[in-house]
Amino acid sequence: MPVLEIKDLVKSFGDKQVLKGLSLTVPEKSIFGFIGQNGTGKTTTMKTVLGLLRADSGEITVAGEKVVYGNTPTNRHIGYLPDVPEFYPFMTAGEYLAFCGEISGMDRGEIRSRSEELLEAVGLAGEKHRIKGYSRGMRQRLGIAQALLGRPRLLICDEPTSALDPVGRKEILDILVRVREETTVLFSTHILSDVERICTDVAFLREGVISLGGSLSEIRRSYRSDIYILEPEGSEAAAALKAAFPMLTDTGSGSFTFRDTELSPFEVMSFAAERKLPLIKLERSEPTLEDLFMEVVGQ
Amino acid sequence: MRQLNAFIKKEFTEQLRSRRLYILGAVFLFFGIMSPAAAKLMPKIIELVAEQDQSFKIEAVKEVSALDSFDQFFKNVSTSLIVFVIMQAGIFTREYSSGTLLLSLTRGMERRKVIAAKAFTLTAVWTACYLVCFGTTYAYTAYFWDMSVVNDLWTAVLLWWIYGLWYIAMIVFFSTFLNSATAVIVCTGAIFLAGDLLAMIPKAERFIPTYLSGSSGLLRARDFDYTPALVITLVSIVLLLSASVPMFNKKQL
Amino acid sequence: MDEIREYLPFIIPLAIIQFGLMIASLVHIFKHDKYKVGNRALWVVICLLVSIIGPVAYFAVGKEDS
Repeated sequence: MPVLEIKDLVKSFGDKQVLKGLSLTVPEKSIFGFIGQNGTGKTTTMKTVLGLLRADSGEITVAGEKVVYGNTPTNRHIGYLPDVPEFYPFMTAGEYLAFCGEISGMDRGEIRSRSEELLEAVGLAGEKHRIKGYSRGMRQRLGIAQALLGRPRLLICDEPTSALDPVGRKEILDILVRVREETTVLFSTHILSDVERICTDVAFLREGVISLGGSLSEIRRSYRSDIYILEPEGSEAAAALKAAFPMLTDTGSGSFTFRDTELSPFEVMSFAAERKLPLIKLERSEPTLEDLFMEVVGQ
Repeated sequence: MRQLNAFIKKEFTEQLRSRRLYILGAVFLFFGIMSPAAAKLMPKIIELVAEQDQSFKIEAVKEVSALDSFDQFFKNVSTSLIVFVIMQAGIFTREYSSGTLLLSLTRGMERRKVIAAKAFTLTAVWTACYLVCFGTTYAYTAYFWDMSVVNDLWTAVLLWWIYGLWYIAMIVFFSTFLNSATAVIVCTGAIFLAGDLLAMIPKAERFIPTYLSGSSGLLRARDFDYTPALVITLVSIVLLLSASVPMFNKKQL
Repeated sequence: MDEIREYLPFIIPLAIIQFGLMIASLVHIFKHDKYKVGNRALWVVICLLVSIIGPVAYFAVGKEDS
C-alpha cells in the first residue's frame, strides 16, 4: 500500500485554478522528489495533504486513510517541515521537542530518549541556546528533528534546501538519506541537482498536473532519447558534417550535439569514415534530470 | 489535558522569557505604591496651589483617609489595565505572523485548547498583576490610615477584577479574526469608547460593562446597583469566548 | 527632614522600580540593534527622559518579538 495517494486533486484560489486534477502515488520507503517551478502549487498540494487547506475536489489517502479538512487524524502518520519553519524563539531545541511530544501525546520517557537521539542525528545535541539565535540551517535541522519526533511513516518537507548555502544543503540532504531507513520522504524542490543526488522517485508538477512521474531509473530508461556529442577535428570536417546533417546543433565550442531520435550515430560514423573526416570524439551523454525536465516542459 | 497543560506551560515560559510578566508586574506594583503616595501628598499639593494662587480658597482641608487612597487605586488600575491590554494584545497575532502556531496545529493541537490555554494564561497574569497592585495599596493604606471608614471594599475589588476579564475576553475574540496586535488594541479601545458613549444615555448607563469601572462608589456606601452591568459583563464574557471557538476553527492560518 | 522621612516608604520602592525598568530597557536596547518601531537613539532618549512610561513603551512596542 502506498504511503500517500492523491487522486484528481483540484484546488482554486479565487478564479485561479492552481491544481487541475493532480494525481500522485508515493510508494513506501522512497525518497520522493516533488519538482516544480515556484508558484506551481507544490506548497498548496502539501498543505492539502496536511488538511490545512480544503480541496475543491479529489481524494487524498495517507496510509490508506482518507484526509479530511481541519484536524485530520491522518496527520499522526505525517511529520511536516514547512518551507520556513518557525519555532518558539524563546525555547531551546530540547524544550521545543519536549513541547511537540507533549502536544502529540507521546509517552514521557519516549519523548526524552527520542529527542536526544534526534538532536544527535541532526547535530544539535548539547545546544543550550534559545532558538532565536539559530542560523537557517540549524532551524531547518531542528525542523527535521521535530518532524521525525513521532516516528512518522511519511516525512513531508517543503523546499527544505532552497534557503540554504551549499554546506547547509548537503547536511540536510545527508540527513534525508539517512532518514529513509525508517520512513518515507516526500520533499518539494525546484533544485534538480538535489533530486538527482538523493531521490528514488520523482514527479514533475506543471500547470496543475503531474506531467511526468515515477521511479527515477524508469524515467531515465523510458526517456532514452540520448544526446550525443560530436567533435570533429578542424573546421573543414565541421563544415562538411554540418552540410550533410543540418539537424546538428552547434555548441559554439567546435562541437555539435544531436539526439538519436533525429539522427542515428551510426550514420554519422559511416559518413565520417567514407569521407575520411577526422573526429576527436563521438560520445553519448546520459541525459541529466534537467534535460528530462526541459523535454517535459517542452523547451 | 496534556495538550492543554503543555500549551499553558509554553505560554508561561513565553510570558517570563519575553520579560512581559516582569514589566507588567513592575507597572502594577508601581501604581500600587503610587495610589497611597498620591493620597498622602494630596494636602501638600493643595497647600502649594493655595500658596501660589491667592484666589484659591480652601474651604476646609479635609483629612486624607483610606478612602482617598483606594479612590486613587481604582483610578490608577485603569491605566494599568491599558498597559496590560497593549502588552498582551499580540498573544495570538504573534503566532499568526511568525507561523509558529501552524506546526503545533499540524501536530494535532486542538484549536479550542489553544484558545483555552491563552485565555487561561491571560486570566492568570491579570489576576496576579491585579493582586500585586491591590495588595500593595492595601498594605500601605492599612498602615497609614484607619480602615474602618471603608464600606464595601471587597465587592468593589472583585467587580473591577471581573471588568478586567471582560477585556481579556475581547482580546481573545478579536484575535480570532484579526491578524495584528494593533488591530486588536484598536477594536478593544473602540468597544470601550462605544461603551462610554452609550453610558451618556442616563437610562442605559447601569447596563454597560464600563459601569463596573466605577465600582469604587461602593466604598462610600453610595447607592451603586451593579447587578445589571455585572450580569451583562459576565454574559458577554461567556458569549465572546464561546464565539471565539467556531471563529478560530474557521480561521485560515 | 522629617517630612521627607515620612515619604521614604513611597519614594524608595518607586525609585527602585523606575531605575530598574530604565536600566533593564537600556540594557535591552544596547543588546539589540533591530527594533519594531523607531531606532536606538530615539529609544534611549525616551527611556531616559520619560519615567516608567518610557521603558514600558519600549518593551510594549519598540522591542522585537523574538
